[in-house]
Amino acid sequence: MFTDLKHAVRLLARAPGFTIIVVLVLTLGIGANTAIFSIVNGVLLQPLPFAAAERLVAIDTTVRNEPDNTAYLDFLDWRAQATSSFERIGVYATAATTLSGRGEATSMPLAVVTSDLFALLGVAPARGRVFRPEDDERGAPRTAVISDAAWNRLFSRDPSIVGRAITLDGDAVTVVGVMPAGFEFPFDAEDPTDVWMPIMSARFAAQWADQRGASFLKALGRLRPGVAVPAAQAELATVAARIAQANPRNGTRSVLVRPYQDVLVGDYRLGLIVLLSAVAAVLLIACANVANLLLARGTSRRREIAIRTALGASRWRIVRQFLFEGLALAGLGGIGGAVVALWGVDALVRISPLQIPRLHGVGIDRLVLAFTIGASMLTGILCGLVPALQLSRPAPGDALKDGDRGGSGAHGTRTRQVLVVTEVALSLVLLASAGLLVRSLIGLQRVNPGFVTERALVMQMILPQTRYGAPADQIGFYRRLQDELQALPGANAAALSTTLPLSGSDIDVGLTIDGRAADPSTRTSATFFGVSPGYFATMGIPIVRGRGFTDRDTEQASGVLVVSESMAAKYFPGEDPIGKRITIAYNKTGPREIVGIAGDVKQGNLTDARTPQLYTPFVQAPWPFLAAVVRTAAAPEATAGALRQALARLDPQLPAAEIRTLDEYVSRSIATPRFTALLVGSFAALALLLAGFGLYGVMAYSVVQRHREIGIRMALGAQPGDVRTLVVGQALRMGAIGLAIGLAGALAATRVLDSLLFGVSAGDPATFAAVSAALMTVLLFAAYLPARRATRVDPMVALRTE
Amino acid sequence: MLISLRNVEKSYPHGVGRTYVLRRINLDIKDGEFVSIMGPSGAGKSTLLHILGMHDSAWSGEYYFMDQPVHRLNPKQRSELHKKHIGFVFQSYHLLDNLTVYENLEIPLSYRNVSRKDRQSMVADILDRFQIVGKKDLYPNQLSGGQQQLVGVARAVIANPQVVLADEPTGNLHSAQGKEIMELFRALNESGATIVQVTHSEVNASYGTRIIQLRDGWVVEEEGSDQRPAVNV
Repeated sequence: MFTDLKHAVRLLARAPGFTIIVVLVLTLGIGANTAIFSIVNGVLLQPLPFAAAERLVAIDTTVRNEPDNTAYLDFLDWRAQATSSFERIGVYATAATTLSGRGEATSMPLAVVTSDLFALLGVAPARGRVFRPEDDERGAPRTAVISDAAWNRLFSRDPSIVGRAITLDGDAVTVVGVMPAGFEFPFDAEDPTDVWMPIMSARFAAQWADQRGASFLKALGRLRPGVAVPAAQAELATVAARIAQANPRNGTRSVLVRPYQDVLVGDYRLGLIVLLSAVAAVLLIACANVANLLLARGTSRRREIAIRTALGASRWRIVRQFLFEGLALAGLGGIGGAVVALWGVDALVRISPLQIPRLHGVGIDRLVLAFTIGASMLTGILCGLVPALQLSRPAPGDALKDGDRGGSGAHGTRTRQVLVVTEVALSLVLLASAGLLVRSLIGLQRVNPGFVTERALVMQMILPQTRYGAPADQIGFYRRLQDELQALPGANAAALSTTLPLSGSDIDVGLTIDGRAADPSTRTSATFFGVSPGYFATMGIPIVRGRGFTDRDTEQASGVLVVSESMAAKYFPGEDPIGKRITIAYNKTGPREIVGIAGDVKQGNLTDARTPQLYTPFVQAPWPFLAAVVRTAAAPEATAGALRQALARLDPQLPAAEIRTLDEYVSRSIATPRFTALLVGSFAALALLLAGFGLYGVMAYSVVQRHREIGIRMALGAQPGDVRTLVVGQALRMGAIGLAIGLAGALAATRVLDSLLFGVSAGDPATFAAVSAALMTVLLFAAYLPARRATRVDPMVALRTE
Repeated sequence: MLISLRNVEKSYPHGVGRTYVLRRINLDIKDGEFVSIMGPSGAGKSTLLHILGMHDSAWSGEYYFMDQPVHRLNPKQRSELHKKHIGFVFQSYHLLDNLTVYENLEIPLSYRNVSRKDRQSMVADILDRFQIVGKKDLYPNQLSGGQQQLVGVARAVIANPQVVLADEPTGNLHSAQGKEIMELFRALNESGATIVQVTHSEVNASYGTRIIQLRDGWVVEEEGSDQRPAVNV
């Protein structure tokens, strides 16, 4: 065996040009597969880094079967009553907090948690302690646990950090522990959490904790050993029903219990599997190409194979020889691929949508390396097997006789054609998938979000409760900020709002409509915006009826509302909502009059259906959240510095907020479909290139084989055009067969993409027609060069050789 | 009888009929004979030799090798029989270009599952016997034609076959080199190997004990006996 391997390696070393090309092709194919598998492994396959992670479940409150956040009081009831199925239940919410008192104020991603959440996860701190049950008591001393990254970045790994007091949102908070390096929770936060606090230590959370209507928490449970999810679901649903009986406003609420890992990555599973399938198809095409190259090269080795057979080599020994060559090539490709993957994984993580959870932990680990080795071996076997079986056929007699001109015969040619047809078919499946995803992306990019996105800067702020806990303080800040924005250089218009559409944050409020009996079994709600008078004009949201807000809509004036068209249609069908009155559950200041109807805006992401939205003047319903929108004359980035300075003048203790453009908001909302389309499109382009290359190789070889025939045809009067038609016709026939098989495969494969598509069906004829035409065009070009070469055959030379 | 052919024929379909390469070949070769097959180009000599060497299986008739009915054996059984008892020398040497002399000699032993230790010993012996020790690390393209054919003969006999088949072994050599090779064949025959050669050369044929003449696929004449004639060269 060592002898055969040694011979195989030597043979490849003697043909460096061929070996380099093949290894490059395989490096790209194996490298791409390894990189994508790294992400699939890190996001989907690796168990969560918690003890007995399979027993962790996500618990959602459902409102009319739609998942929603959970109220603290509901959680307390679950924890007390659902004890058969659950070992522990905890809740958490993400926010941001400001670290001050150490030079420039710094924003830190925050998670507020119940005291036993770390015990629920089964994680111990690296230093100090985590929270105790007494930390959940209202009025308990404020405590915090920080991440290893925060300890490193903000506290220079000060060994005395445990027990030290720091200032968060103006409050003195004692650091009681530091989590281990690499610990991350929750995974669905956009930025890794820097600090964890008990719910009662964070003012905003403590404030909402005793409101059963304030659903701001996510819940996590650890099942008891041996308890299945359905049993836990049944028990908790019973508890929810009991709560609903005792609390009518919970009438429409139930629960949904699902494995935590499924909830975390479920939305991304299909997309990642599509990517893995696409890149696997590219590797298969690369294997077919390499097999064709080996077959062509092997044909010139018929004599050698015949000699070996004549010397006593069994068919298996010949096959093994080729397999070793394939494995040697694939081994080199695997090493190259692993190196490419190292770089590729970094690049992929950088361009991946931030919403994909667990990305921070993606890397090349043992499983990924095992995958690379496995992929390399499989590649080597696939690449070597076809030429091995083809060329090891017995009957060396003819090849050993002097004067034998070699050539693989009809069977070898057919094998090569089958390989090319396979490549064409696979390429079409990839191209069709990419075409659909790109069309879907274009459709998404054309969706009207309901507001104007060009040349607009956004700055989001969270006002700390210690200094802005009272509504008057919030309104005061709001007014001062308005003045600063009016004077901002480069600004055409400016406005303020509690949150912005497509920002990833929203406030959902319950409401009751005057003159209608409140039905506790149904929840009437809308997305809430507290805005400045110039908001609609600045955002480019049309007022379709009535009016927007003016400076006269002060906190002393009568309460007014603007509702969206969807809200008007939903709650006032066939009626004129102008003049109707609504009471918002939050901020109990009595009914407010609807004075205008605004156009709908997309709230969560561009594919969401329009949802009811309502607007109040900020001063009539203030919140500690504010977003400033500044419409600029020039490029928005030029005004960012002035905006930051304005904020610093207002309150130096507020951290430098992240400033984005409205275009970025929209772009972020389509980040995942764009990412998928980009990658699948790249793989499809690579596949097309490889298929074209494969066809070129087969046609070039075919022309050489048909030298004599072409010579005779030309001697009999065939013109160059006739010869070109002969060659290109053969290529197009192969292409057409591959196309037909590929179309059938694509129609089946693209069904899987259905849930990823927007505005285009999985069997869209226009897309299929376009990619088929593109593929045939590339194949035509690939066949053209050999066809042109065929016209240069000198009939006399060709016939004399015979 | 070592080799017996009865009514062996080989043909190709040609239009509505067939083109015959060999017609009703009946032939016996005894153990220890030195047989030369002669005839004009296209007579079927090489084809007959390749059938004897079991490289060609597309023929009809009966072929007995050491009383084994080759015509009834499956490809695997034929391969085993041929590996065990037959060595083949080609006109064009047919050495493997990417293997050294040593490796070219070793490869038939490797295909016969001879252990590494034994292979090393046998190759060393044959290098010594053929006086090509100094060339063992060279590649075929570094050798002259005569040296390549020498290696080809060494390769054919390294596994001690009962029969050595040689297809125009001196066809690409000049006379001095050719004589050297023929003397080698004679020595092999004297040490017990049965030699069957295809040759155009009367001189080469005179090394043998019997001549079989082929013409248009037919055996037309047989000369000589198992007595060795005198050779005058």
